[in-house]
Amino acid sequence: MSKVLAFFMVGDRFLVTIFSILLSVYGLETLNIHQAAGEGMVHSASFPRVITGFGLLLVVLFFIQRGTKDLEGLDIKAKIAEEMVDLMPLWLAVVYVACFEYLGFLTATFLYVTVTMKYLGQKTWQGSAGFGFGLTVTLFSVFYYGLLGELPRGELIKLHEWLPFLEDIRSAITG
Amino acid sequence: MTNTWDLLLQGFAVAFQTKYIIYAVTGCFLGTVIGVLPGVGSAGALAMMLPIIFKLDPTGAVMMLAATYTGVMYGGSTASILLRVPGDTSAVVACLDGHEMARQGRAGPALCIAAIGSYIAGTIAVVGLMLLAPPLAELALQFTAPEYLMLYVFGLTAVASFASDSLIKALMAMCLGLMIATVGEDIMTGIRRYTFGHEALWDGIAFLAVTLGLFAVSEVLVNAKKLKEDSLGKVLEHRIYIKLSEVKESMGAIFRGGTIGFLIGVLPGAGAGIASFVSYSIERQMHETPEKFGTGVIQGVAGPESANNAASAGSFVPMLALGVPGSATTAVMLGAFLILEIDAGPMLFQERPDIVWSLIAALYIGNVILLILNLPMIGVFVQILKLPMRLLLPLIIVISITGVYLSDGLVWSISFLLLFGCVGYYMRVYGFPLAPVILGRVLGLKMELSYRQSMVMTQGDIWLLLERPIVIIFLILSIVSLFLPQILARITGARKVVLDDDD
Repeated sequence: MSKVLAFFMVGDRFLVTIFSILLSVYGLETLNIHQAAGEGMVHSASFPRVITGFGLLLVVLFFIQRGTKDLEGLDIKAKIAEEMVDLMPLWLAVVYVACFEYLGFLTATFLYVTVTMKYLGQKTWQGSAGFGFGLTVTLFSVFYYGLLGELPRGELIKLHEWLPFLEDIRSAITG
Repeated sequence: MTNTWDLLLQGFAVAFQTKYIIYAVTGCFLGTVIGVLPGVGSAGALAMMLPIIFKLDPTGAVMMLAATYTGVMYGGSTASILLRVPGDTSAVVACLDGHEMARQGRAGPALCIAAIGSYIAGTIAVVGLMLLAPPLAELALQFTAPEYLMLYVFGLTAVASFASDSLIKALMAMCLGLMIATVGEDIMTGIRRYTFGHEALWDGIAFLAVTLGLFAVSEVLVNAKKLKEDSLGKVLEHRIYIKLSEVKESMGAIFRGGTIGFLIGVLPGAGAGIASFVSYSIERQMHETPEKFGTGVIQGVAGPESANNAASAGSFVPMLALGVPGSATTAVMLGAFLILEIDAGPMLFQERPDIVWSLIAALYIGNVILLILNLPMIGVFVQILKLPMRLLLPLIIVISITGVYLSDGLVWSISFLLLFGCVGYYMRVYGFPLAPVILGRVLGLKMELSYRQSMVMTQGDIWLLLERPIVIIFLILSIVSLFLPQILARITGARKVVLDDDD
């Protein structure tokens, strides 16, 4: 069992297995794509089916080519745990995105940069917070005043209401 | 010919007026700044300039837009080379060797050659635009669906074959890109595919989320891992200026990139992104040691950078000669023309030669200004790389997330950014190339459209396509490019054979 699992789950094989599952779902979903009235043999599902066929051929070729040569002596569980830790900056970014609209750009960005810098090795929290503040203000100025972009103002922490000069500056720029 | 020359000189005479030079410098500067930021892109940058240019006279407005365009193209490359954050399709290729050069302490030469290549290619394109606009516009009209289909097939195979040590992995990456491209509304029938009832997917998966995720976020994850393991190389002392020998080495790539870029740019819909990918592939095929591409080869920056700049100018050919925008950017430009009450099309050359030739002169002047403006600035740009990694990595994440959010205002798109960041990280770890995903995403819909139109034209008989000479040429090129790495490996007696090297 573990050999079969390893055949499909170790290293780049895991990515190809995921790809083949994705491809199968993608191909099966073409059955749900309705044909528009008046369409002939070439319709909305045709091209996805060509991609599916070609992709599955590649998957088969990949596994035939790889065989079982590289499967000896691998500890799958340890490898997965190690890779979860490697993705820590991504998990922090996921939390940042989840808070992006609720806390607003200014608060969420300040907290994200501060925590991420500390995680990445900044010696003190004060240092991280200092850089976080500077970076947040700089990026806010570029995106909000320079490019006149619409950034989330925050539903929980309403900085824009507490600091009205933020809007005054923008109003002065836009005239 | 004399008439053309006289008209160009008149164009330059107009363009060299002080106020127009100021407009051009402003456009170049703003374009470079906007180009560095991901999410805006050249079309977005020109759209942002519209409120400003309405206050100018038509010639000044056109000059400012043209200068902004050249600035955006260079700015996009700067972010790609220094931070591996491509703001636009055409800047993606600069991530490959350009960023590798920066990591080796050669950010200065990479930026220099990008600026020099852009300037020379821009000059080639302007000469091409001047001399070849009318006949090339006619040739482009001969490209119908089957020719475009094979052009796209060639573009994909060429990149896939050289993007990785494993052809199968590269083709899988290309398939993934094509799959992503088909999500959303079918452009021919309006039928929604792979949206699973989510309104946010009707327009497909945002290109920016895919690109920034694969390149920028995955780069952050790779570097964060190295930082935690303390295996990140020390901050290098960057060489700011380029050596003459490096310029000489790049000249061939620049001229080839400029020519190829211009010719591809002339084809409506082909665009600067495809031009840069094709140029990269050709440079790799022509290089003595193609396996070194992707590790910081200067020709891998010079060729594509020249190609994307030349393609930008080339895309003006169908717009000026036929009134058909060749890209999203020229579509915005055409919109500006309409608002400025300038009718683009065959009569434009007769009715408003002042506009046409000022525009052509402005494209050239824009390149000169870029060179003057940016070469001394390279030292400043390079300082970005001296920022500590623990500050630079969250900066890249915040810029990427904000760029994606600003492009459509959806948190949903940011989720895709992070998802593709994770995908990109594992693809890099396990030796899957990223570039074919991007190319598949860019070409997918166009390829599908051409495929379906071709099938309708031939009533499903695919062999009928082989009766077209241009199709046969591209088909041969596709087959050759697909197997060239293996053929070259055999010829040079290299030990590494593409399909067997995974082990």
